[in-house]
Amino acid sequence: MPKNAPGGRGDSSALSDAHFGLILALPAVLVFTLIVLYPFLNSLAMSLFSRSLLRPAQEFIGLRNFQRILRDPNFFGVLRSTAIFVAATTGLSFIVGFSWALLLNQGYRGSEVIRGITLFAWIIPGTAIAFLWMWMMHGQYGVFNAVLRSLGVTDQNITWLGSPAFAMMAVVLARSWQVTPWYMMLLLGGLQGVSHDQVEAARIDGAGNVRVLFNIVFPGMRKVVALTVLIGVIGSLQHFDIIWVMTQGGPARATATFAVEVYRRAFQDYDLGRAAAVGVIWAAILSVFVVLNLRVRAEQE
Amino acid sequence: MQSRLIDDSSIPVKVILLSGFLVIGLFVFFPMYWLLISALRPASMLFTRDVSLLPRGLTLDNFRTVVSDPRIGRYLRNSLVVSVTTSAVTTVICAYAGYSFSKYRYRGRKSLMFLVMTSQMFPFAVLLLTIYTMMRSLGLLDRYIALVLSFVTFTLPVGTWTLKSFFDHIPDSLIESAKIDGAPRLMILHRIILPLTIPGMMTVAVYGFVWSWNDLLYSLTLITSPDKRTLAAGLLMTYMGEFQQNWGNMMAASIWVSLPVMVGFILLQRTFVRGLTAGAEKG
Amino acid sequence: MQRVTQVLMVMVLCTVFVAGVFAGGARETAPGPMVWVGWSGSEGASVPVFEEKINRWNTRNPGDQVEWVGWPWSDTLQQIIIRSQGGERMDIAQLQLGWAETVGSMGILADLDEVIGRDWLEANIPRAALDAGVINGRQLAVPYTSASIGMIYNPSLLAAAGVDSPPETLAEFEAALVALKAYDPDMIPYGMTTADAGSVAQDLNAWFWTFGGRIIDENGRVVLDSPENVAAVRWFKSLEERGLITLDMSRFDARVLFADEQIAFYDDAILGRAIGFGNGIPEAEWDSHIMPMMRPIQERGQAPQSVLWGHQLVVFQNARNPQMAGEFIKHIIGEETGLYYFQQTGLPPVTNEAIGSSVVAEDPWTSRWLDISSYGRSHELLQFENIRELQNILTEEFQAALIGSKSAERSIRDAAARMQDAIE
Repeated sequence: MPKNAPGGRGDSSALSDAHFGLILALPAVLVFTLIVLYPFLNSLAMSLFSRSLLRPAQEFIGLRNFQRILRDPNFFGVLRSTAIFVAATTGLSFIVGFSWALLLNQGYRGSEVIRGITLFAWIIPGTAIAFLWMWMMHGQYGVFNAVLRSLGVTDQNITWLGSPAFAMMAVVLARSWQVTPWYMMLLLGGLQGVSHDQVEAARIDGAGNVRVLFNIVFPGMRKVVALTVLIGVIGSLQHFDIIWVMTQGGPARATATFAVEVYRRAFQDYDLGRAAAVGVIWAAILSVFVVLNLRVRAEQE
Repeated sequence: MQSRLIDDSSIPVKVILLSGFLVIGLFVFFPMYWLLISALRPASMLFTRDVSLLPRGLTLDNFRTVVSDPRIGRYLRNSLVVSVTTSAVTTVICAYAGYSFSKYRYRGRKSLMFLVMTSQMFPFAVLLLTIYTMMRSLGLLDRYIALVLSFVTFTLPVGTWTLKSFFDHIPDSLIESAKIDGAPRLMILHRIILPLTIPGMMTVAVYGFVWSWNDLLYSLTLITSPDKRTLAAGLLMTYMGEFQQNWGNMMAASIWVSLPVMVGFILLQRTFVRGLTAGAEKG
Repeated sequence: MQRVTQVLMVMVLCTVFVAGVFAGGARETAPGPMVWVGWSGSEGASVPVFEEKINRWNTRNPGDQVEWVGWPWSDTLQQIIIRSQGGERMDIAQLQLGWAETVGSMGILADLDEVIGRDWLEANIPRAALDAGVINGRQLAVPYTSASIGMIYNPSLLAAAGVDSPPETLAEFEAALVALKAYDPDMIPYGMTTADAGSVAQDLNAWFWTFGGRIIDENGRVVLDSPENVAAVRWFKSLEERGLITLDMSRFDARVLFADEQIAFYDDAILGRAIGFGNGIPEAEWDSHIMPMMRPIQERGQAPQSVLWGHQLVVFQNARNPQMAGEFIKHIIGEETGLYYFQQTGLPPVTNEAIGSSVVAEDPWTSRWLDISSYGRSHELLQFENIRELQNILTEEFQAALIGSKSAERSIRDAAARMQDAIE
C-alpha cells in the first residue's frame, strides 16, 4: 500500500519529504485543534460534571448525566425524530436531486439556465427558507391550503405545523428543498463521469433505458452516491436553523432532533452537563457514519 | 453532439421525462416563485384568505424599503467580506492538507486524516461555548478572524477530501519530472499542481462561501458590534422583532441580498460543475 | 490498535498545546463607553427612539457615553448569558420580565438599592412594580415598562355574530366562540397562543387561575396536578375539537389574523393596538375593531385574572461605573424620557409622576389597559432560574393533550412530575 514518495533525492532543501508533507498539513491540523478538538474534549469532560450555563462552578458526577438522559422516556422520541428527519431528508433530496440531475444531464435546451436557477435555494439563508416554508404552509394564508381547497381535497384549513406528522413533513420538505441543489450538483457531476462509450456499447447490444441505468449508470456512480449520501446524512444531523425557526422541535417535541435537543438543554434548560452528554451520545452515533465514510474513501487509496 | 444518456425516442419515455420535469420543477421552482411573489405583494395581499396563485397586485414597496435601508447594504458587505475570506482561506488550507495527505507519506498521516474528517462530528452549539471563551481570551472576539477560523474548520473535511481526490489523480511522474528539473517542492505545488486542480479548488471555494454565508449561530455570537453583523443575523434582527415579523420585507431582503451571489454563481457555474464532476467521479 | 494509540497521542499533544496557549489568562477589559444591551433598540420603529434617548444622555454626560448593543429579541437572553460567561463587560441590560431571575441567579447583577438608592426607588416607583424586580431578597431589577397581558376582542365581529357585549364569564365566552364559528366556519374564534412556550405558559397560567388552579404553591412545590387544571385543559381540548382554537398559533400569527378579522379574541400585551395599526387596522376603526377586555371569569363576582408583563432594567456588577449606570437608568425611566418613550411607542412609563401625567391618563386605551393591569399577578414560573425549561415542559404536555396523544389528566400529571423533577 505505501507507495514511493515522489522526489526525495536531489532535493536542495534540507527538509525531508516527510517533514515537508507534515508542514503542509499543519495549518489544517492547527485550526482543527483550536476550533474542534479542544472544545470537543472540553465538552467531553463537561458531560461528566453537573454544570450550569449560568455558573462556572461544577461538580464531578460521573455518568449520572447519561443515566438521567437514558431514563428520560422522551429521549427515545428524540432518537426516533432524528432518524426520521435524517432518513427522510436524505432520501427525498437524493431521489429528487438524482432525478433532476438525470433530467438536466440529457442536455435539452435551457438545461444550464434551469441548473443555475436551481442553485438559488442553496444560497438563501436557512432562516429565510424556514420562513418561506412556514409561510407556504400557513394555516390561514398558506398557498398549500389554498391549492388543496381549490382542488377540493379538503374543505377545511389544515394546521400543518400543529400536527406531529405534518410538522415533520414540513421540516423535511423545507430542509430537502434547501439541499436538493447540492445533491443535484454532486450527482450531476457523477453522471457526467459515466462512460459514454459503455452506454453506446450497451445500446448497440440492445439494452433499454432501464438496463443502461441499472447496469452501467448506477454501478459507475456507486462511490459518488455513497459520498453524497454520507455528506447529506452528516449535514442533516447537524442541521438546526430550519427546524428551530419552523417548529422549535414541537408540537409536543415531535420534530426535536439531536441538534435541537442539545441546543435546548444548553440554552433553555441551562444544563451544560446534560447538553454535553447528549452531544457525546450523538458523536458516538455519528462516528459510525464517519468511520463508514472513511472506509469508502479508504477503498480508493 | 453526444447521444443522450436516457434514450428518449419512444413516446412513453418522453412522457415520463416530461412529467419528471413538471413534478420536480414544481418542487424546486414553486417555492422560489412564491418567495418572489410574496416579496412583491403588499401586506394587504399577503394576509388575505383569497390566495391568488397568479402574479397579481404586485408592488416594489418591499424592495424599495429594503434597498433604501443602509443596514442591509452593510450586512451584505460584511457577509461578503467574511464569506470571501473564508472561501479563500479554506481553499488554501484544504489544498495544502489534501496535497500532503495525497502525495506524502509520514508517521501519523492516517491519524491526522481521521481527525480532520471528524470536524463535523460534534454539535456546533456545544463547541461554541468553549470557542466563545477561547476567542475572548485570544482577543479575537468581534473580529472576523474568529468567524473565519471557525468556518474554515467546519469545511475542512469536505474540502480536504475533495481536493485530495483531485491530487490522487495527478500522476506522481509529473511531480518527479519537475523535481528532476530542479524545481523546489513548493514551486511544483504552486506552479504545476494547483493550476491543474482549479475546478476542484473552485468547488471547495464555493462550499466554504456558502457555509459562512448561511451560518447564523456563530455569527450572532462571535460578532458583538451591530455594525459588523453578517447577513443571516442581521436579517433576523431587522425583520423579526418582539412584536412583529415583517415577512414581506424579510423575503424581499433575502432575494435582494442573494442576487449578487447568484450572479457570481451563474458566472462560475461551468467551472464549479466541472469541479464537482471531477471530484465526484473520483470520489 | 496502533492507529488508536496514534490518534490518542496526537489528541493529547494538541490539547496540551492549546491549554498552554490559554493559560495566559483573560484580557483586561478595555475602557470605553457604557454598554447597554437588549433588543428593542434594534427593532424597526424603535431604533430612532432609542437613538434619541441615548443621545439626550450622551450630550449631557460627555464623560460617560452610552452605546447600544442589540440582538434579536429571541436571542437576547442567550447572548447575555454567553457574554457574561465569557467575562465580557456589559453595563446595563434591558430584560423581559422573567429573565431577571435567570440572569440574577448567575450572581452578576448589582444590587440597585446600592446603585440607585432605596429612597429614590421607593419615592418614584409603585411598590408592586418594584417588587417584581426583587430576586432572593435583593432589588436586582427595576421596571422599564409595565402592564399586564390582557385580552383583546373585535366588537364589530362579535356584533355580526350576534354577541352584543364582550363575554364576562366562561360560559358566555364559550357561547360567543360557538356563535362566531357558526357565523364564519373558517374563522378561529379565539386565537389562543399554542406555539412558543414562553407565551403559552403565561397565558395558561392566567387560565389556570381562572379555573381556580395553580402551578406552584407558596413553598415552591409543583401543585399543577389538580382537578381545576385538568378541567381547564379538558375545556381547551373541547374548544380545539370544535375548531374554536387551533394548534400552531403564535402571538405573531394571532395579531395578523386578528387584524384581518379571522380571529375575534386573543391575548396580547398593551402594544396590541399599535401592532394592530401596523398590521392594517386604521385609526378610524379602532373602536369598532380592537378593544381590550377583562379575561372571562368562572362566576360573576370573581376577580378577572391577568399575568404581569413588562421590560426591566438591570445593572451588572462588573459595569465600568455602576453608579453612573444607575444614573442612566434614572434618566431612562424618569418622567421626561419615560413619557417620550410612551408617546413614541405606547409603552407605559413606570414612575409615579409619569404614570400620573395627563398624557397617559387621557389615552383611553392605556387607561383601560392599566385597569386590567391592576389585577396583574406574577407568572408563577418566574421564580425559577430554569423558567424556560419549565415553560417548555408545560407547553409540550399541553400540546400533547390538544393533539390528543394524551388525555388531559395524563398530560397534567406528566407535566407536574417532569416540572417537579426539573426543579429539584
